[in-house]
Amino acid sequence: MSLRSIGAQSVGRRVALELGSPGFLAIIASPQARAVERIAERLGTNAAQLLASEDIRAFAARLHESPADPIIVSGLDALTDSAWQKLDRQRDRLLRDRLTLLVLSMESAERLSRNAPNLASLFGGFYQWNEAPRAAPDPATAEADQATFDILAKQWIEETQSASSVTRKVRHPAYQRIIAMGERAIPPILRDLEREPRMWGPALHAITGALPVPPADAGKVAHIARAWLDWAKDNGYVW
Amino acid sequence: MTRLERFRGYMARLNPASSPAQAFKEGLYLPRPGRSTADEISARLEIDPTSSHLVVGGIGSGKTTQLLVSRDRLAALSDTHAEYIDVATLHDLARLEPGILTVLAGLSLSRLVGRTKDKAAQAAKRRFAHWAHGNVEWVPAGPHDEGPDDDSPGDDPGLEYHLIGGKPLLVPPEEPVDGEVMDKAARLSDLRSALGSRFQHIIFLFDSLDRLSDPAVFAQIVEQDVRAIRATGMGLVLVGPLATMYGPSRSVTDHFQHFYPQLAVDCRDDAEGLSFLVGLLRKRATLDMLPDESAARLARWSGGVLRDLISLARTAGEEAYMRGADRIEAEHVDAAADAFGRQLVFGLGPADIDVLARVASKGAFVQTSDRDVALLVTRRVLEYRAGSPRFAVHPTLAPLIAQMAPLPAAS
Repeated sequence: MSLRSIGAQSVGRRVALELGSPGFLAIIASPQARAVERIAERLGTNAAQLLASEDIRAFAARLHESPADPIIVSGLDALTDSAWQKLDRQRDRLLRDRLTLLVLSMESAERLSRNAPNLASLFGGFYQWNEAPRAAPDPATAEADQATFDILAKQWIEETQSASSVTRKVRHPAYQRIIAMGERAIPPILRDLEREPRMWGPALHAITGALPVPPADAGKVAHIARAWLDWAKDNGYVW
Repeated sequence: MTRLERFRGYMARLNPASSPAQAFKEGLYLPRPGRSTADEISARLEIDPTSSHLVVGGIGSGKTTQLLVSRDRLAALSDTHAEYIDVATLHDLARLEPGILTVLAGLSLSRLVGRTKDKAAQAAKRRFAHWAHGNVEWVPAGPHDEGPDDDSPGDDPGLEYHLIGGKPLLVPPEEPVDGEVMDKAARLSDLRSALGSRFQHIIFLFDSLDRLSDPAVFAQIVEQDVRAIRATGMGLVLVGPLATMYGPSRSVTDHFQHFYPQLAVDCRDDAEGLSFLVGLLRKRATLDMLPDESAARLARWSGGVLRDLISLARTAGEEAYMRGADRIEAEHVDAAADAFGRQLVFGLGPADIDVLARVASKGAFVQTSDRDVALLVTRRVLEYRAGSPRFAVHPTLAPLIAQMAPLPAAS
């Protein structure tokens, strides 16, 4: 069961939205992903880090002492079932008038859901940390994908450069064949997008289902390219 | 106002973690359709101020809000004092034991009595302070008598003793209230007498006891404190664990004269329920941010669980902001619902998924184990009693369960 994915970039945007108001954001990440460090780096000096402890009273006191917005809480994997149950009974102690970001492993998230359903009900949903590089294709496949893409992209550019209709451009057989390549087309598209901001948004959306471009940026080719490149980084693509 | 500021304003008003007291103070309370639990509790206590009431309900169903509304209505009566006590903020619920509710009640009345010349009340105040916070006394040191008890048989082998008498034949139908708890209740009566000229009736509303994961602990408290406080002639409202509604703990409810299940609002079969939920959102979000269609969609996904409604509305706001929209549309609501449902999947085992699939297909739910009751407590299964009584899987979870445990098509 996949969760919504989130990377440092998106954490930054979400935190910006919730600055100054109370709430929780729960991010599931493996300890190897170094999510806490990446998030802290992205949020800069406004954020503080806090290590959870089974001593709920002391933990809550440290949480409330800090004026940081947000506080990134880690170390939750050390909490036992009974510690989570205690947190659930004393959840009022955890409530602060600012954002609290919990970074925890999948096992801890399950323990939280099982033992602290009241506390969990205060979150709108868990996010899955997704900055780990996706498995890169072997060099030979990557080279072949790049070559296929280059041929199709060249044909598409040449045959649609005078066309003004977006529909005509997207329906072009070469463009459609690039979409048909699926995930294998993404690295070559991203490389091309980095070199020159071309109309690759519809193809990326068709392949991934993502919609990272704000409507306000419609028509702004450079902005669209930037949004897709940021999204790709957040989602662990390497190109 | 910038787009970010608009969205921040929206998010700030939709906080599932905010205290019901705060929301109440900010005028965000909206009466539930029909007669609410608060209406019933306050009306009954108005005419019978010594009556006892138990409220149970699922997570985020608005129990605290109902208690606060009841408190305010009762407090408006000139001869009545209604005291709201949030037990979890005053005592570690993991260490709840008989006598503690009586002590908390005593501390509240001690504050209310204030300075007094009434000797009994003064003594009661001191005793409650000692019970609550402990006390240290200096006692003179003296010789210790370590000799054998004069009345004991001793160990002289030459003497024979016969035990005369036997076990009593009569056994009280219920366990008597513990002597120490009764002692505390007697002191509570002293404080109540001192307040007699100011308030004819005193009513306690104890919150947070629904967080007790072990219904047996709650039963013990009811057996002792509730009976002891009731014996003093004061009214009582308790919020209890949802598990007391189902299974073997059900008998606990017999100790109360009135029992109120605070269930989710039915917005599938009850138009009033739907408009109540939309109204709740409308108190917090303007039409230009949250159109009516989106609000109604949120209400349906929430399954009528009030906290989930607020949570979903907040997540939908996040989705809209992240996708660059200017207001919350259906796609943002659906994305929020999907994320919410995925969170509810956490911690479910294969047996739970089978049970949920059966509830989804049949609408019936027989609780045969603690795990089944836990599905209700964690609101994966919702019970509706208004309109057409039924059980349902939380709407955000239902499509995911269908994917995880597809049932064979009906032949």
